[in-house]
This record gives sequence, C-alpha cells and structure tokens, in this order.
Amino acid sequence: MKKLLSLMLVLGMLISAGSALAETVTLKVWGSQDDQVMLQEMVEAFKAANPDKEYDVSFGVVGEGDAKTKYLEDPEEAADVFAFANDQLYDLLNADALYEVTINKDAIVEANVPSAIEAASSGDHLYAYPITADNGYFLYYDKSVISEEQVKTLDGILEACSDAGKKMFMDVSNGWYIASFFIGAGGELGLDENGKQTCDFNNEAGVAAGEAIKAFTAHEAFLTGDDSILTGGIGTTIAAGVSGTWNAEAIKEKLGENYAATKLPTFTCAGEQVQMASFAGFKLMGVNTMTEYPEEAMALADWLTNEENQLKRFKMRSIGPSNIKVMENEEVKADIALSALAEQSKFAVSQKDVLGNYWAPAEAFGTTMEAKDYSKDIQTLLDEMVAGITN
Amino acid sequence: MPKFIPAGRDRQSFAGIREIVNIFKQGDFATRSSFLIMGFGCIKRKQYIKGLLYFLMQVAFIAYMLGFANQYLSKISTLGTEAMRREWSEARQIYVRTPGDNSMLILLFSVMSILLIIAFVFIWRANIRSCYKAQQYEKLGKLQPTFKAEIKTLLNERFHITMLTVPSLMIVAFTILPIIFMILIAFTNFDANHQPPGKLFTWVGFKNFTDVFWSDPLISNTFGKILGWTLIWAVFATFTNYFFGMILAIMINKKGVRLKKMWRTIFVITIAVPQFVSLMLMSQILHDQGPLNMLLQKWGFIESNIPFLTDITYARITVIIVNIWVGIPYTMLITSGILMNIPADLYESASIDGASPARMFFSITLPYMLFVTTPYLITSFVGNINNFNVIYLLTKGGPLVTDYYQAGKTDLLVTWLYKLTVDKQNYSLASTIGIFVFVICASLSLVVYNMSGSVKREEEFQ
Amino acid sequence: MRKTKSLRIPLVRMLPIMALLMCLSLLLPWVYIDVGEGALGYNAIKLLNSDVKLLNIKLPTILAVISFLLSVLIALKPNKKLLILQALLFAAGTISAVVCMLTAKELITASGISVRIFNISHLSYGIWSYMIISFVAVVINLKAMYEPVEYVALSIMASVWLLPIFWLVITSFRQEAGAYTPYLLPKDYTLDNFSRLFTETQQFNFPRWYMNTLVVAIFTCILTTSMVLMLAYTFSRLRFPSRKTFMNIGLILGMFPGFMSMIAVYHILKAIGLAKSLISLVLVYTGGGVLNYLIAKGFFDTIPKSLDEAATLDGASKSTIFRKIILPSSKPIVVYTAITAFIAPWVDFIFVSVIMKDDYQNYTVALGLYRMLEREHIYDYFTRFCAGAVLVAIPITLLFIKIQKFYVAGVVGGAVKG
Repeated sequence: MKKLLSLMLVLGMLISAGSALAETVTLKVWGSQDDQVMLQEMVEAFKAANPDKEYDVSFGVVGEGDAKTKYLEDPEEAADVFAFANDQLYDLLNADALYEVTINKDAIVEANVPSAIEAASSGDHLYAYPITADNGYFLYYDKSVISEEQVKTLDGILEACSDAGKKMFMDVSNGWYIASFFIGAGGELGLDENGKQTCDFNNEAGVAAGEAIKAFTAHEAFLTGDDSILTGGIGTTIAAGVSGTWNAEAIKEKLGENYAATKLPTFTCAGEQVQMASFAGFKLMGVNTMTEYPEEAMALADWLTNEENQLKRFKMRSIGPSNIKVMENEEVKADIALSALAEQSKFAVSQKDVLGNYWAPAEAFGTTMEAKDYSKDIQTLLDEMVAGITN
Repeated sequence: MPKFIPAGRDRQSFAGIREIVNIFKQGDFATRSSFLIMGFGCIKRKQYIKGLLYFLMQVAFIAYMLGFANQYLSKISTLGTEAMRREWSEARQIYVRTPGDNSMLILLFSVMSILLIIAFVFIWRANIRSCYKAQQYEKLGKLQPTFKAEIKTLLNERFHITMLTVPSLMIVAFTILPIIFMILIAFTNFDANHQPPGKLFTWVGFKNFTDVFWSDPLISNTFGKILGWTLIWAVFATFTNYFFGMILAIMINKKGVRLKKMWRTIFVITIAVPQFVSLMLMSQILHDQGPLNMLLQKWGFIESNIPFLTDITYARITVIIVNIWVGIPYTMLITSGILMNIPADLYESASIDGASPARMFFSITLPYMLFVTTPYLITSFVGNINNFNVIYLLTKGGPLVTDYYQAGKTDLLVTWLYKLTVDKQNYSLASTIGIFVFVICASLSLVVYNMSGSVKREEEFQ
Repeated sequence: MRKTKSLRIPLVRMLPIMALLMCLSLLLPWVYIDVGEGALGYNAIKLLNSDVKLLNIKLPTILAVISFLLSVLIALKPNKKLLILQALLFAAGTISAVVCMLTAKELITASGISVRIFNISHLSYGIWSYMIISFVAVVINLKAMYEPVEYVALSIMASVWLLPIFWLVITSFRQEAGAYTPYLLPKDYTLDNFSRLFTETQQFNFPRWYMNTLVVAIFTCILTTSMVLMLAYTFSRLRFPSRKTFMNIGLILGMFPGFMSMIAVYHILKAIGLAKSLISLVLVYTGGGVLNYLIAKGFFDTIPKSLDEAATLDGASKSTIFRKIILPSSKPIVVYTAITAFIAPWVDFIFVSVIMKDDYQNYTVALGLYRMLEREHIYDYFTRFCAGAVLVAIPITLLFIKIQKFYVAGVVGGAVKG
C-alpha cells in the first residue's frame, strides 16, 4: 500500500513538473513608442535569466500618458505589465486595476527613492514598481545669453531675453506647468476625506500668483506653445525654456556649448521673491489584475525596473532612474539635465493627489492669460477655475 | 395559389394579439401545440423542412437563454452586486483576484438578450401563422405548398423579407443595440469613479438629466452656452457653404466659360484629400508660430502673430472660414447639377424682358434652388450640428475657458461629448448630452421628411 | 448663336489708355525714403537707378511698357489672339505688383535704408494705382473679347483653394524636419520622406497599413453597396406593413453621434470574437454606411414605375425586376454609393482606434497618419505625414476625377428629392 502511494506521489510530481515545463506563459507588455526596442532587449534578457519557463511576450505601443485610458477601455485586453504616469494611480486603483506588490516588496522599497515609493503607494500598500523619477521639469537656458546671476530670477531671465531680442518659453496654458506659480506661492491641491479634490488657488496667495502669471504672459519676451516650438527655436529665437528631461537630447544638440540647465527661478509674488515649485512625476510599472499569470507578470515587472535595467534605461534613453544606487552612478550625476532636475526636486510636490478634473480648468486659466483676455478680473477667473477643479 | 390574408395583417400589434388569440380559438390540436413546440403543426401537415427549421430555432433560443443570457439578465435590476474579489493566498504571496460582476457587460448583454427575445417573439408568431395557414389549406383540401414554392415567394411577394434580413441584422447589431445601450447609460452613474470591472455602477434614474439642466450650475452653464454656439455654428456653416457654393457653381456654369470640367476638377481635388489631412494641415498652417503668421509678418501686414486658433473670437471666425474652404466643393457639385436642370428658356425670356443678371438670380435661380434643395439644406444643417472633424481637428474645441466644464469656446456638443467620453470616461454625462443632441437632430429630420413629402406633391414648379 | 462681331472695338480702343495709365503710375512715388529732414518720394525711375535694391521694380516696369506697345498695336489692328496675350500681360502686371508689395518689407529692412511708412507695407500711391489699373485693364480686356469676366474670380478662387494642397505636396518633399517652420517653401528638396515611409517600418508600418486600408475599403465597398441597393430597392418599390416605420427609424438612426456607440460595438465584436481584426472594421463601416440608403432610394424613386409594371405583366418576379431593370439604369447611384463606401475607411481614425486599440499591425492609414502628429512624433514625422497624405490622396483624387459625372448625378438625383 505504501509503495503504491509513494509511486503515485512520484508520478503526480512528475506529471505536474512536466506540465509546468510544457506550459507557455503569455504576457503582453505596454510601453511608449520610443521604448519599444529597449523593452524588447530587456525582455530577451529576462527570458534568458528564467529558462525554466517558456515565455511568449508580445508588445503593444501605448504611451505612459495613455495607459489609463487604454486600460479602462477594455481591462481584459490590456497588457499584463504596463507603464503609466503616477498621476493615474488613483484612477487605476479606483478601477481595481493594479495588483498589490507583495512579493519582494521590501527589497523594492529599499532600492528606490522614498518619493518614488510614496508615489506608487496608497497608504502602506505598494501598488506599482517605480521606473523613473524624472518626470518633472526645470529650466534650460542658453549660457551665452543669460548669466548665472540672471537665471536665478524670472525677471532677470526676461530682461536678458529682451536685451538679446530672444524669448523665454513656458507652456503656461498647461495645468502641469502653471501649477509652479500657485504651488510656489503656497497653494495646495489635495484630497479631502471623501476623496474629492480640494484646491485653494483662489485665496490671497493664489491671486498674487495669478497676477504674477498675468505679468509674465504679458511680457514681450514671453513665448508659449508646445515642445516642438521649444526644440525648434532654442538657440535661435529662444534663449530659455521650461521643460523636462525628454527634450534634453534635442536641446543639447541645438545649444551645443551653450547648453545649460538649472532649477526654476524665483518669481515676484506680491512684492517678494518666491521660488517656483514644480510637479514631481514618476513613471511606474503596474501589473494588471486581470492577468492570467500574476506571479510571472510581477517577476517581469520587477525585472524591468531593477537596478540593472534602470541603468540601461539611462544609457539608452537618458531617462533618470528612481533606483538609489543608479542615481549614485558617475554618469548619471554628470548629466546636466538630471542634476537640474535633482536641484528642482527639492521644491517639487507629488502629483499623486491631482485628480482628472484639475487639468482643463487650469489650462483654461492659462489660455485666458496667454490670450491677454482681461475681461474678467483675476479673482473671478480663479474662483471659476477652482469651481471647475473641485467639481 | 389563393392569396391568404390573415386578419389584421396591416395593423399594429394590438391587432396582432387579437390575431393570435383568434388562431388559438380556431386552431386544432396540432396548431395549438405549435404554441409550445414550434413547427409541430407544420410537421403534422407534412411540411417537414419548414417545421424542423422552426423547431431548431426554438431549441437554439432556449440554449442561448439558459447558457448565456441568464447570468446577465438576472442582474439587470442591480447591475451587479459584487465587484472583483481579492483574497490573500499565503502560498502564492499575492492577493488573488477572482472576477466578479461587470456592470457594463451586464447591461450590454441584457439589452442584447432582450432584443433577441423580441426577435424570437416575431419568429414564434410567424410559426403560429404558418401552422394556421397549413391547417386552413388542409381544411380547404388544397395541396400544401412545398418548401421550394415557399422559397419562390421569398423572391417575389415576400421579396422584401429577403432583401431586408441581412441589412436589418447589421443595423440592429451595430446601430440600434449600441444606441439603446447608450440611452440606458444615461440613467446610470457610469463615470470615472465607477469603472468596471473594479467598480460597479448602478441606476440613478433622472439624476444626470437634472444635473445638466438644473442642479449643477457649472454643467448647465456649459451646456447652455455650448448649445448656443452649436446652433450658431450650424447656421453659419450651412448657409455660407450653400450660398458661396451656389455662386461658384453659377460662375462656372455661365455660358461662355470654357474648360468647365477643369474648373470643377480643381475644386474637387480639395475634397479628394482626406478631410482630416487637410484639417490637420490647416491647423498647422494657422498655428500661432505657423507659416501663415510668419508670412504675414514677413510681408509686413502684421507686427505680431494673429492668434487664429487660440483667441475666442478669431477662433470662431477661423473655424467658419476653414469650413467654407472644406465644404464649398461639395455644395458646388450639388448646386451645379441642379442648375443645369433649370430650363434655359426661363432665363432667355427674362433677359428679353430686360432683366439684369442680379434680378434674374433673385427671381429665378434662387427660388428654384431653395425649393429643390430644402431637404438637402436641412440635412446638412443637422450634419453640421454633428460636425466633429472640423472643430476637433482645428482647435480641439479650444480655447478652454474657466467657466466651462471641461470644454472650450469652439466646442460643439459632439466634441464636448467626445472629450467627456474619451478623456474623462464620464459616460453617463456624455450619454445624457448625446440623447439631447439626438432629440434635436431627430426632430429636425422628421420635419424634413414631412416637408419633402409636400415637395413631392407639387409636381411642376414654374 | 455666335455674334458676328467677336470683339468689342470701343473697349479695345480703351486698352492703350489703360496701359498708358499703368506707365504713368510708374512715375508716381512708390516709396518714401527718409532723407535728412523730410522724405523723398522714389518712383520707378529713381528706384531703377538706385544702387540698393528697395523694390522688385524691374518686372512691373517691363510689363507696363510691353503692355503699352502691344495695346497700341491691337488698337490699330484688332486680333483675338493678341488680345489673349494682352490679357495675360495685364494679369502678369497685377501679379508682379502684388509680388513687389509682398517682398517690399524684406528688401527694405535688408537694405538698411530707413523708409517712411505711408500706407500698410511702407508703400505709396504708385504701387496701389499700378495694381488697380492693371486689374481693371484685365477686366476690360476680357469684356472686349466677349469672354466672361468670371475667369478672374475663378482663377483667384482656384489658387486660394489649391494653396494648402500645394503646400502639402511641397512639404512632402521637404528635407528639414519640424512642423512649425517660419517659412513656406522648403530650403532643401528630397525624396527621402517617401522612401522612409516604406523602409522605416518598425515604428510606423506604412506599407502594411496601406494594404490594410485598401483591403478593408474594397470589402466595405462591396458589402455596403449591395446592402444599400437592397434596402433602397425594398423601400422604393415594395410595399409591406410597417414600411413607413422602418423608414422613419432608418432616418433618425443616423442622428446619433457615431462614436458614442463605440464602446458597445467593441464589446459586441469581442463577444463574437472578432475584436481587433480587419473583418470587424469592415462590419463596422458597413453598419454605418447602410444608413445612407435614403439617397439611393430617392434615386430609385425617379425611375418610372411603368417599367416595373410592364415587366410584371410579362411575368417577371420582383427579384428579376431588380436585377434586370432597376440595376442597369442606376449606374450613377451605384457609383456614388460605392465611392462613398470606399472612401470611408481611408478617412476614419476614431473607430479604428477604438477597435484596434494597441494592435499596431492592424491599424489603418488614417489612424497611423493621425498618430504621426502626436506631440512626441510631430517634429520628426511631419514631413513624412505629408508624404503619406499625398500617397493616400492620389488614388482617391483619381477616382473622384474619373467618376465626377456619376457622383453629381447620383447625389442630385437622390439627395435632392429626399
């Protein structure tokens, strides 16, 4: 009897082992267009490091900004592992889209900067794997036009620009950038206990910031637009611009020796110099709750965001890492754009508590200022803006 | 073959019910059992193939209802009670997910099932009628029509059924079903905070409607203003295109102008380029730092950039003008065709009487054109209300303003809808607005239909 | 009825006067130069003599002089052919003056000489009078030849309409990248944009998308046309219960904004198992396209019913009537329906993005081109976008040109009668 039992046990084990060997794990990975080649290389390395299972990995092109929308359209069809921008975290959690990170959690928490971990968590629970910590913005400028002294204040920059007949670029009609004025002046965007958005941009400090924005956009050296305007005109018609690391290559090429980057300047707010704040954005990798192979997907996500691959990401795409050890790397430190970002990050706030309704009203306010439409006074405009944000 | 006309064939369903009851009363055993087992009566009377077909349909239907529809229809009142479950699994060290109720799929498939039930009722009714007909033939002593003969009628008297089946299926599946689904969404709270499968949504009755019209000041303000602009836009877009197109057509059509075909072709080329390409092109050209502004500065016409697409007033005017550029070739083609039909002797007799060209235009051409193209005008007005491409591709609905809810000053109702759907996932609000747009457009179209009936009645217009 | 006199002599005699006036306007000051205390008006002669090029004055001068000589010749010996040449010369004169005006600012700022601004664009009476006179001369010239004056308006409008298309084509040959360039004409020309569309396919797989769209278009065309014809014939010729209801329903179904039903359609397709495939695209476009049957029905209504009745008397069934009588005489509407259905997949980018989601290989050309204009890509891909657009526009343009006649007849016959 015993013999029979043990024989059956052995047989059972053999069969299950055999089926594990035969089983193919199909996974789909989403990444932005430019990341595709890099992701493919990383996945090949993953397969080589895990020879015990058969992996069939396919790729989809979905940028980090679109991840939430595409996911919600059809969660079943969405990728098992996808990259998303951290302001989408709450929306994804609302749709119960992300697996909580429970395997290897402590190691991940230790390896990445605290702000990145905070951005990927809700309370004590970690829901995604941090990829980058560089989705913020700072100031690029032309060394030959603007001196180090002038670049410290907004007025200085504008003066230097008009003297040289050039422009300063900032996409003010964009909720992401315009927040630097409000938050710098002390404004707060948060969530109340019901999860609804709170916003105090229409208080006194906010109005002062609004006045500063009005003065800024009315200045002759002010130029707005989107990134292609900046990369098209830097060096020739534009002497300074607010942007992030994604444009570093293009700007470096155009400015050559005159390439410089630093934290954002201070601006005049109700007579005083106030430092412009910024949003600290992170890119995170999440695991789809509808996946058929949760453990394997988590292992893949972990792999794609580990130290080795974050370094690789920096080398291939100049993307700033969130991994502490990689940040200590010599090359990373030497990168001008990333050091500017690091400087600015002291004044950066997390984007996590910004809900979807914030963007359009903020953009509306910026557009009105850029169009020099002063038919309503600042207080009224801000009141309307806040009403739209908190709706 | 004697034509068999069951009672009440041309009337509505009330008569249909009367008819069914009638058949039941007058039917014999075989016919009555066809009420329960489809095709029984036909088989009894040796119409084997037809009877078997009916029976198979019944079996398929029951299988569908039990196997698929049941799980969704049962939950329709609540739209799901349990979202995705998560359980901690010690062995795997993860929170294992088990799928729960998906509110959206429940709603969608319930609607689909209801439609199928309705379709099945019609098939069942056809089954009853056919069995009754067979019974009547037997009573009268006539030969039962063979299956082949039945097919033949499908090609002749009942040709409409053959022709209509496949298109109707397509329309029901791809148009009617989604529309019903959408209308129902307006009565739920399906928005960004209630996204399946993670969350459920449920019925909220008329709350969305009251929000749009009364309760929420931000939304009602936005809605009213956008509606106003949509109507203004539709009027301007339709009539500017119409008149300028007509004038262009008249110019080309004038006696003595050579190379008519060449002129028409030149304008037609602008239609041939896909509309979204030309519109995206225009949005690049008209950009604040785009070629047009640069050129105007270079030539010395202006000192600083004209915000064609970013200033409220400029944007609205620009949009109408670009729409003229896009739309005139179409209206030119159509009015050309009609102009060629106006009898030439009308003009000749008028010029003999000494009428000037302007006078002839206003007294002859214009009234004729307006009369003939009134249906077209109204159709194109309705089309412009829904003209998504021009607005969205040029300005994306901007410039945004603070007192609108997620909308800008050139937004039409449709573009606002699109933004709410795609960017904000606020499907319930979007559906509510969509219903309203539909009501406006549908009423206008039905008016057109009646008017064109009156047009048909007047035979000669002289 | 041809008039015996093909030229209007009194007007012909006016032409030399117009040309003379043109020459005289050359002597008016065209631009005012700041000289010491005041300003000195420079007319054509002075401008021609000056060292610094301030205006493109040569061409207007030459044209004015030649026009004068020619017009005198014509006045003495009226000749139709010469009049045509004359008209062209006058038109060229207007254009050259306009060009002169447009290039003025550039040349003047480049020369460094300060110029007193009189009217817009720093220019003075001379150039305006030259422009107006030469324009009027063109009109008079046309009237003299008994040609419709409309040619002028038509030419202007045609150029305006074609300008953006021209810009599209020329940008597709542009070497430099970028979308917001401050100049109109490319500095360097190249065929790279076209070739790169076909060679660099990892990110934007243009050839595959083109084939996808072509296949979808063909099948949509076939399916939609057959269905529309079936529907139109049924509603036009056959009478059956609830006919009116069906028609009303069909009428208002098209009123819903299409993309609202996107999600529902996607899930229905998924339930059938067809999501993300080209077949589903064909079905969706056909489903949307059949609602246009009203136009076809209107057209069928214009085919006399007496033909039907005669055929029925001869014993033809309804399906025979459909095939042998109605179809052959409805060529215009068949063409119209087919073309409209064929074009639909090339221009739609909304439905595709919902149905295909992230399945890159199955995109259509429209969606692909649309993606090229997204923020991240527009700088690199704008010129290729233009090239792709040109490649899409060419077949459609050719189709349109060939079937223009049918298109008009179809629309007029159907749409107008309702």
